[in-house]
Amino acid sequence: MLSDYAPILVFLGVCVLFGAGVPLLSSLLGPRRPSAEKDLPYESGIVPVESARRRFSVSFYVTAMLFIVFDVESIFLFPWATIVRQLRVFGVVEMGIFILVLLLGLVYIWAKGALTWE
Amino acid sequence: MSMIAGLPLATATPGGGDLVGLLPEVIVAVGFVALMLMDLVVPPSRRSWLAGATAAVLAGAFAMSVWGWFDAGPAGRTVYFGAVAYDRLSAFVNCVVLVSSLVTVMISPGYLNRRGLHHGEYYALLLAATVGMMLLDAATSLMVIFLAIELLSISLYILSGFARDEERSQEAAIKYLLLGSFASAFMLFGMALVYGETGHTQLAQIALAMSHPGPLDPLLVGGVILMFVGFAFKVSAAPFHFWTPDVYQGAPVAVTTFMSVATKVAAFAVLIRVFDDAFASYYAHWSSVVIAVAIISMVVGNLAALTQTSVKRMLAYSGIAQAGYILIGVAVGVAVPLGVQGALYYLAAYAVTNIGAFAVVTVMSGHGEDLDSYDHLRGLWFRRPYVAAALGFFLLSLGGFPVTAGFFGKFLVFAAAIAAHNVALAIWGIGTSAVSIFYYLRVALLMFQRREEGEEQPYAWPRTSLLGGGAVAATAAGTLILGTAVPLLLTVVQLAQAGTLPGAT
Repeated sequence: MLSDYAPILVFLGVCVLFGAGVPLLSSLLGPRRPSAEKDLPYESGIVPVESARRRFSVSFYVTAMLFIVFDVESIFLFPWATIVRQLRVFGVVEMGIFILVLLLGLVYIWAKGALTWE
Repeated sequence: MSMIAGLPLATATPGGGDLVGLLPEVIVAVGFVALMLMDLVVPPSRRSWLAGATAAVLAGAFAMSVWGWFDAGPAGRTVYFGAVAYDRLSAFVNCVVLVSSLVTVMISPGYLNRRGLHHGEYYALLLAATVGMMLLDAATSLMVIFLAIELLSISLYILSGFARDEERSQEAAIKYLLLGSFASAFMLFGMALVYGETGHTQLAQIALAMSHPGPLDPLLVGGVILMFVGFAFKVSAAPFHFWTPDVYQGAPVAVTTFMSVATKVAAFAVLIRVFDDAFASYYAHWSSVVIAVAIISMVVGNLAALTQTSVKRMLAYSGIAQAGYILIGVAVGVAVPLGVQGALYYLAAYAVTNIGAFAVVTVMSGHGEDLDSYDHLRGLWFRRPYVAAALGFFLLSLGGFPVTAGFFGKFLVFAAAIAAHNVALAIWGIGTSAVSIFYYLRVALLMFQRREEGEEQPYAWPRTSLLGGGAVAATAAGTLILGTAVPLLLTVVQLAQAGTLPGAT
């Protein structure tokens, strides 16, 4: 029973070894030529132009929230799709109501202007 | 029947009888979506139409709930595969919640116009919160309980921040959101433990699993207590009350009116259903915790209310104390049926009285700031005698004076405590309510204080509109009726109490 978990333990060990070993190896073997740019926080290889601690447009948050709503909708759709044949008409109607309510929400935010970017 | 990952999958579909059992909730839910869309087409100057439509939806749901009381019968049943109860307890509490909602809609348009907050979302959010509360009082499954609590909480988080330009309102919203999420996490953890130990999410089957004799299951006790913590937060019982005064004070007072009453009523209904029925066999393990929370709430709420100088904060602490009194009924409800009946009576009495008191504050709140400081009430009697008399009457009822609704609520829960041989609990209740009379009367007497020669009027009270005055008059009449026509409501709560867990047998 407990031995079933042995592969996980091995996997964990490999993870720790790999995570600790690679930085160690690169610090031992790699050349070391420090410069001011290299000490900056790493951000996809591009030199940062200003501090990240500034105010963001509220539109980002609205977009993120909208994304979550439709993300969750698709999560509900997948399990529903596997049993829609057994549920017959009832399943279609039920999911139709669910999607309709979300769709009306989309109409609402559209009309309220939440989708226009400045 | 198909199999997914070894679990049998039920593909039965609910029938028309299921929809009938959920009709009041469905009406309000459809109204919520419709109101949201109406807001898009109704011009801003005609926002009071939205209030009319909201009132129509609530009245329809109220009529269906009353019909459901008779249709469900004494035993009641569950619908949607045991997820939701269709019984007299849910019909009764639905009615209380819907009336609270309706009174709020009556006082809202005038208040929102004066404060410049009249946005269409208000009514849609109010209906969303109402659906959450109605589902909560009917829920017989842990999943539905959690979903309903989230539905009502999220709507109220938004509503308490409805005065967007005011720092206090923003603070109230963020405080409520953070602490509310924390409490939801507690409850969810408790539900997970209960589910893990019993293997069921439906209350009737949990009750069956818990009644099997065997060694005590400490994880199950932990789950029960954690769930209680979550509910205690929602009913703002001490020591889980720290959000209450700040949120009640910061939120626009029309919102406070609604949330101080309806949330508490719905949360107590589910507390009664879960603890006094589903967890009845673990009574010995949770009753001492509930009694302790009841005593702490009564002491902390009443003592803290003594030192307040803000009407809203005083009513918030008074609400904490009232939650303590209702918890007495819940705590002894398994041993004596009078406990649950007293709690239900108290809920109806508290709802009509407290909503009346807050309605007076709402109706008297003018342009600019809400009426809040004690000073703002000084001399109200000489300018607005009817409103002042009503507020005085509500405060007497909250203090538990005879011929008011509050008296019989207190009387029944104290009698239940004595019937359960817990005289100490009754004495704590009587002692603390004696203290409470001091601060209720202090506010009531302030209204009769004349101002000195040449002194400015402390607050510009607006004129009472027909709707606002009607709401105050109706709640005052309700307070009087519940305080005099006692047998009527007592019969109702006795019928509601008989069979609070359909499908258990």
